[in-house]
Amino acid sequence: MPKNILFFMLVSLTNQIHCQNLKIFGYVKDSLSGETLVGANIFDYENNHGAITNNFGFYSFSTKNNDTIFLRISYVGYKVFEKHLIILKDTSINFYLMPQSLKEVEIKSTNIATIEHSVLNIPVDRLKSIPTLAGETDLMKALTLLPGIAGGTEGTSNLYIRGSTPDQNLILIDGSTVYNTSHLFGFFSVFNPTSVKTLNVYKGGFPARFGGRLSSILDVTMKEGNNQKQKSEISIGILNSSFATEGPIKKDKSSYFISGRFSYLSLLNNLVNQTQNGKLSDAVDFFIYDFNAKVNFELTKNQKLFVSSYFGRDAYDTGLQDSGVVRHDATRWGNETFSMRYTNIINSNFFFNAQINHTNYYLKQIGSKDTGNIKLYEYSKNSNVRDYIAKLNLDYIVSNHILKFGAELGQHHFAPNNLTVYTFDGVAGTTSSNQDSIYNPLSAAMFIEDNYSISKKLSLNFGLRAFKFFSPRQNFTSLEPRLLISVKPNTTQSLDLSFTKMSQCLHLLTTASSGASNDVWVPATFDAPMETSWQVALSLNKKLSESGWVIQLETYFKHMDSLIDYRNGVNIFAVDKTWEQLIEKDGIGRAYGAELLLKKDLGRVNGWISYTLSWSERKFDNINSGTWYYDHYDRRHNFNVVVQYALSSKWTLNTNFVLQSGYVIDLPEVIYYNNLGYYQTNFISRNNARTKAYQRLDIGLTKIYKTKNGNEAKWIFSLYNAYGYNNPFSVSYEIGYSIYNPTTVSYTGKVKTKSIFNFIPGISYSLKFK
Amino acid sequence: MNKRLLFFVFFILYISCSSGDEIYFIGNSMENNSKIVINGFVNADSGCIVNISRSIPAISQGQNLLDTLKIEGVHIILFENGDSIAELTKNSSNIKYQYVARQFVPKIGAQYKIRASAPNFSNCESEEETLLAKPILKDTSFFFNSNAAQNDPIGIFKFKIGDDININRFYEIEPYATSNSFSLSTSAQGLTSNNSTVLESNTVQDQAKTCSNSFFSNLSIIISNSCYNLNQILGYSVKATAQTIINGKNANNFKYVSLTVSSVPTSYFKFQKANETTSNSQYTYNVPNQLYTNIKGGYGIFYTKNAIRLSRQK
Repeated sequence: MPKNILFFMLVSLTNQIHCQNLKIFGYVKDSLSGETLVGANIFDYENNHGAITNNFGFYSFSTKNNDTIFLRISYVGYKVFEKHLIILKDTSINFYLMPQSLKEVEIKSTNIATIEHSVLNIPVDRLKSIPTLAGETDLMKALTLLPGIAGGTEGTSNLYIRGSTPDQNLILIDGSTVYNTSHLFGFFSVFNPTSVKTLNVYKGGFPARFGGRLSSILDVTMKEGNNQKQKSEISIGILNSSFATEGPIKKDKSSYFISGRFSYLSLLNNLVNQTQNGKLSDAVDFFIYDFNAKVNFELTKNQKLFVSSYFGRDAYDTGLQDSGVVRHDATRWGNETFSMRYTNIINSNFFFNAQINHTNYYLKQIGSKDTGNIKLYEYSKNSNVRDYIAKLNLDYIVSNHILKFGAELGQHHFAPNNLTVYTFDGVAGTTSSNQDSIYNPLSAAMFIEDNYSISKKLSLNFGLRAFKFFSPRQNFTSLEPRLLISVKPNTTQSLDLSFTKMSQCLHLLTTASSGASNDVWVPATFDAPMETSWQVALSLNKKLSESGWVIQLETYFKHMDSLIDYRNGVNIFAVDKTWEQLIEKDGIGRAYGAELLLKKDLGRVNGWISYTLSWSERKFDNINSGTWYYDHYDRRHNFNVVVQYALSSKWTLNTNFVLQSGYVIDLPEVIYYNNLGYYQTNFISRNNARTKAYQRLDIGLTKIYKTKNGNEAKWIFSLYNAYGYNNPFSVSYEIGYSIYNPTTVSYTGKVKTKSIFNFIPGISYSLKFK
Repeated sequence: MNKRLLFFVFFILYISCSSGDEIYFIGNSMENNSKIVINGFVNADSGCIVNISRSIPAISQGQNLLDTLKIEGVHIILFENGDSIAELTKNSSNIKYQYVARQFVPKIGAQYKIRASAPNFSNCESEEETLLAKPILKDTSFFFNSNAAQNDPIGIFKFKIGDDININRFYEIEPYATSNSFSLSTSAQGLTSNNSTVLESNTVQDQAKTCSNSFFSNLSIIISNSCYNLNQILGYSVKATAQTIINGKNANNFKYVSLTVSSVPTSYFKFQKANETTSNSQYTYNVPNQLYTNIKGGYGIFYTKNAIRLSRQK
């Protein structure tokens, strides 16, 4: 008997030696610029498994000794690279893919393995081609054409992902949080398209390495810069102009990327100067700019250092002069981020990444009204949030496991509301102020996840994230299990099921649907506890044909706890209340629906059709008598068609059509006498009405050609809302009383909608220097 | 060629999708727009007073309010502990009825409710409200300054609210004052749990930090027993100030000042709270308000009150 056992062990060991796993690892890069490619697919067709490059373009996977493998490396917008290899030892290979232009697109069948559950990773260049307002390329708005993502009101750039509110989206740029994504009240986003390399949106099935928000992760990676050759680009549009320049600091070893953008709107009126000269007339003034910068250094063959930063500012001023009374209101807001990241391929099994991230977001509102001699009122409101976060991540690749684990520590600063108001009552002036508490909470998180390929057809991604938030008067702890089961019966279809639990320890107080005019971020506290959610999602992906058609079907249910919302009737500029006195807490929410995406990534005609059927509801004890009601951004239907058609080698036609349910609004329902004998207009229920359906057709024509001196020029002609449909931008309720005599009181109550952006043509020109 | 034709057809389809500029509403939210409105109370001292009117749709144009608010043939029943104790039917065409029932003596601890019906309206009735005992005031002290200058206190009351600790009980504290020439607009301006000195704090924020279940309405403040530390009854004070200017001069000459403390039910607290926030709802950044009602099938408020008054006269 013992002999038999010994024999069995020897045979097993022999098998293990014979089947010893070897590693293939390295980077996938752009062959012209040397930029690493994030999300590239490396697939071994002999063994039917592979890997996807991480955020640093790194891949690693196991194969067996002496195995012949047939690798196909693919990335949308690049020529597919195929290679037969025999692996005898752990091997480091960097693959260089050649970009291909539209006219020379070769159709290679899409591998179903490149489709991730609940993840949208449309290439940035494809998103940039989508016609948007005034010809200004906007990645955030382009995302709203994808399933499960709704936009805000007309022209704004907030994202409402699977029934979420914007604060439930974690938006990262090179790992740093961006608290507000809006420029010009959301008419375009803070992400300068020329600086963005990749943009991935996680709507569900979140890996354990992500956390901190309930509903989605939007992971933006900035370009690293061409490490082969100096390149520059300028772009001139109706609203903005931008520039970008990149190049090697030391060829093959280090590079830089710098881009900037500014608007011309400030040239329209210099309000401040006019005010000082006492010549103020009715005026509006905007001033907007942002900068991106990134440098990276290859310290050794296996070690790299990345430093990147974003800096953006918005200023918005209005002035009004009437009968000698001058009124001035101004809003300022801005984001700053800084990231320093270090990566090290320790060996074929370990990939190490450490980073430090800093974010600063502030909002300031000031205003005054005076007659020249007498100051009638003056106000000032400030809000600020800052983060300092350190993260350590380790990828460990062994056999058919990819283990990821790490930890992060954060120090946060919240100064929600510093409000000072001066009022003059005709005799004397009084100044009152309200300084909300300043919070400096700490946070800590640890995670571990395992991407385990059980067989060629079945894989799991399971993990756990532990999170602790040290808040005044109460600490919050969250243990978040994550599970993704993926079944791939063949290379043309997959079925995925996920369960995720998420939490977030900050809240956003806002009443506006547009931009940043009154966004105030606050931490989870004893009176406004940590929000939590869990989500179940099921997806089916199927490749329909060899010409690139893919269909993705997904359904989800999400439950949310400890939500907050403003109390009925509160005035957010009240000086006599803290923010915690303005909110209802302990709300619950649910969002559920189904999403369809039918897309074709490649070919002369490409694009997608998306449809989302969804519900998003909220419930608070003191709102709508404790019954479920639709969230402000509940959208029942959202249908989009995006088509790109290469008319010739130079001209491309882009169109997109949007048809979606209107957004939910509040309207008063009845008027009656109250107990004091006054007429009382009553909102019986919150979010009780819906605007008409939103629809829009955008058309864009792009011409790309080489100039005489070899530069690449691009003209974009666009028509936003081509048939001029009046989509509601704002809805207001007006009430009027006219007393004709003591016994006759006339009353009118009516709803007015305002539309903007009907039939907006746009043009922009950009030039890439050779 | 076929693809180009397909694009053209698509384009024409897009354009034909254009439609009008109307607003749609969810479900039936706008259909229940005409209901009976009850505003009334049972007062331990004076019986029951109820005003009856009707509601109209808030979104309507060119309406004459006095016409649209008319309601005819109203039938009203007052219940005490489930039994009908008073009833009235009116057929006049006044825009609102005031129904007064004084032919009974309200009983402390009894439950009251009102029911109203009218042709073409669905019936409505209030929730049952219990008539509470009068507040017990202890350790009262009083300061009256009949010649108070502008913004100076004219009356400072100090007292403790009795031994009867009931978590769900609310008290309305209502100051009042008159001068030689006219009644003053008077406001209560401070309430905290600090019983060592006369209260000078003058913001809702300060007192609400002490107790979240209290608020100011125009002339009164409502506090909850849940504000109390059950082991230690705290003293409360109210400072009433007045500002009266005639021809630019201070004209304060007060003849009388009083403070009324009433036991009121939770529903009244919720109603007044909603009323108070509604008065601010015209601000741009305000969240729309929902008025609280305890009238099933209608709108308005029905409550009980039992009051005790402290006063000083010149």
